[in-house]
Amino acid sequence: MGEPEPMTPLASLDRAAVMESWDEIQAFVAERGEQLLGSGPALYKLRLATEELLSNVIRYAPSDRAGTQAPLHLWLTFLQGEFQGKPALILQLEDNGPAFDPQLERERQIDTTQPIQERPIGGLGLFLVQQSVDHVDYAWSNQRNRYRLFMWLP
Amino acid sequence: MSLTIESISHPSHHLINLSGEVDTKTATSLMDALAELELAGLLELRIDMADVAFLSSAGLRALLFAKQKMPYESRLVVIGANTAIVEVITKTGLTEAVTLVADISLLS
Repeated sequence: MGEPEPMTPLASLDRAAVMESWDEIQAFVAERGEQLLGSGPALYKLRLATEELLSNVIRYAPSDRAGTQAPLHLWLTFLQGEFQGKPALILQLEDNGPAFDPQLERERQIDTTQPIQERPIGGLGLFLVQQSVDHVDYAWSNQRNRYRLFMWLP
Repeated sequence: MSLTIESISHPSHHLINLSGEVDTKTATSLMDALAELELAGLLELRIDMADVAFLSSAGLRALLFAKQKMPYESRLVVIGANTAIVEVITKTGLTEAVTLVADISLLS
């Protein structure tokens, strides 16, 4: 797949990975995203993918971190670069939690033929991440989980 | 990001008016409001989303939760959802669970 290049940082934010940081993080993504993508469908899709990933990090963050571990933290960075020959906006999300690969390269499917009464309540988040952005990847990098959401730019 | 919830009981249905955004944080309030209803005996639940700008999978889970608690023959009507929210509901196959109506005036 290659790496995007060059990547120009545009804006960044870091906060503790707790629900108390939720509003500030969402506002950062919404406001900066609107500046960079406009207020149309692309912004909604980026916000949706971000929310799904952040929700997993914060909701499943271990409540009891061992004394020698740093508190769980999030870093968000908007970057611009070229990827797969196309200009792209990239929202990079990192956390310092235990390494966890959500296997984003594995295509998620929703069984829409399953009767509603039997549909599982969960499983929609990663599906929506994949459906919303143009490309998404994961890596364990510099002792952090790193997710990158790519939106092609016109 | 905030969510305002107004829950109104009518003889033929129950109406929930939402205003704001339904995400991981605010969906818990919606789930609480739904859990207060007698869903097992509710034949029609209407959720007015004309003033909802954003809905994530947390909101979808709330809708699915409600429909699964309601009788098989019941209707869960989502009113006034914007294009992006309709797309999310459609992509996840939840049009089997909800009836999408563009405007509340289309309902009796």
